[in-house]
Amino acid sequence: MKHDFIDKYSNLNSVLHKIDPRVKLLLSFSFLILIASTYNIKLFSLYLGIVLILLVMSRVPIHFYLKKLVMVTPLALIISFFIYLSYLIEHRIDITFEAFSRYYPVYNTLVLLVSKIYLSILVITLLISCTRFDALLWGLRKYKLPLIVTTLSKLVYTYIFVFIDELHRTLRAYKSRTPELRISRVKVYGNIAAGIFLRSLDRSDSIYKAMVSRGFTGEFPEGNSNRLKFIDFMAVLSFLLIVAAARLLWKI
Amino acid sequence: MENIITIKNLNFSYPDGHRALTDINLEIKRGEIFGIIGPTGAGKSTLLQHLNGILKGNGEIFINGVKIEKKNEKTIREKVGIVFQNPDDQLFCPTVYEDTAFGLFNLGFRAKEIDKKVNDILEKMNLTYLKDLSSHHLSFGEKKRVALATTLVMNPEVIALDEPFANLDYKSVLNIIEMVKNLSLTRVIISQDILLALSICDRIAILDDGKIIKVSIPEEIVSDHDILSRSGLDFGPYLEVIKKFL
Repeated sequence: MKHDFIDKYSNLNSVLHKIDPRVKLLLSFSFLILIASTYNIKLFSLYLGIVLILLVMSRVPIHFYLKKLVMVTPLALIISFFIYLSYLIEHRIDITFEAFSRYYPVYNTLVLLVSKIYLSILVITLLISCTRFDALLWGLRKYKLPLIVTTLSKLVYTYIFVFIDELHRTLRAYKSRTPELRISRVKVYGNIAAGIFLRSLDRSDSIYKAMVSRGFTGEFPEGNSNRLKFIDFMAVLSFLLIVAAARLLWKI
Repeated sequence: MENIITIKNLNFSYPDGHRALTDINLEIKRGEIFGIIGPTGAGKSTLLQHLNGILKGNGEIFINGVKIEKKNEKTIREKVGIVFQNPDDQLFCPTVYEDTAFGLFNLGFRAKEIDKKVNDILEKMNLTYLKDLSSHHLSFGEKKRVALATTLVMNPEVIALDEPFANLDYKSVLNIIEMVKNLSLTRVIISQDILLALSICDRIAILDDGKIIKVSIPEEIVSDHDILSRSGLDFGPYLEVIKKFL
């Protein structure tokens, strides 16, 4: 079973990886709120600059971030399109080719919106790629996220890979006996889907038994230390200083 | 030697009605290597899962004289560790280190103690070089050894191994045999490989169609061709086939 984990770069050894998950969560969400509530383009450039520096500091390959941006692009375009469309309808502008070529104030909003989406995705990807999924859940638990949510998330995270694993195995078996994929064979695909589901269920049951056998009682162990380190305080301090400096500089 | 595991009149049926175990009575002595052999579908893994209360059938199982019940499950799981047949089912944490630490966390050990115990067991089993790797990147033999380490680290009194030699190359089998032989605790080995079981176990039980049909020492088991052939375990014909092709 060899898959791309969402936190596959979480074992790197950068400064960002060393920061406590709780601090990273706090700063990331604060940053997301700042991004969402900002309409000043200069501030936006500053935020973008900060994010770019953090991306380099994370030592995670840039293509990993770019992939995430590409993935979110259709969503950003669809949202922008509907906002644009509703603007045209609201202002009773005929939807013609000419209308599309003209400038409207809504373009500024769209640029800002797309920038916010991209920047937010970068911040979230940065958080995920620099923090192990377990540690992230632990951090969320410390912020009083209910135990049932974190335990279920962890189980889902584990079982997703079981499902993908079974999917790969079944497809490999199918391909080995089928020279080309045919869409017409709906019944076969139905059987494959059912088979994958049943096998995943079976494996999940075995995994659960193995966990129970080692004393699992419904709560995943906490492997993180509660004590904050110097680097954590420095991270919070840097964040506050940058926000304060930006606000003073642009008097926002 | 005193009994560490006593099974009395154990019966078990799966929810679909399939009867997996019928009237099992067994006594396993402290410190011995006890083999449970039988053909596929005989109920070996089902029986194994009863040893630390994962499955609960009708009947009684005593570990160190203490009956397995809901209220003492945690203690029982500390005492009896199970190594499952497929190591992929047992290894689900991001790294080998965390997988090895998982059981200790559940037992309530402190981080410092856990770190020491995990490092000790990995070193003892020559697995330190895999410590920070994800289990998905290991070979099957390495996974089997890590799965064994994840259970041994909990310092159980009994370790039950489900098909420890299955799907392993010759070198890895020898490796596992050596590891198991060197352990100073009670070992229950489930296998359908009678030759390997004969070579490592002090006593062997033959399980067929959910029933124990014989319990004895390897020398006696190997000479009882009638029982072996009845349960499909007679390796004589197998040797003849090998001879024919050599």
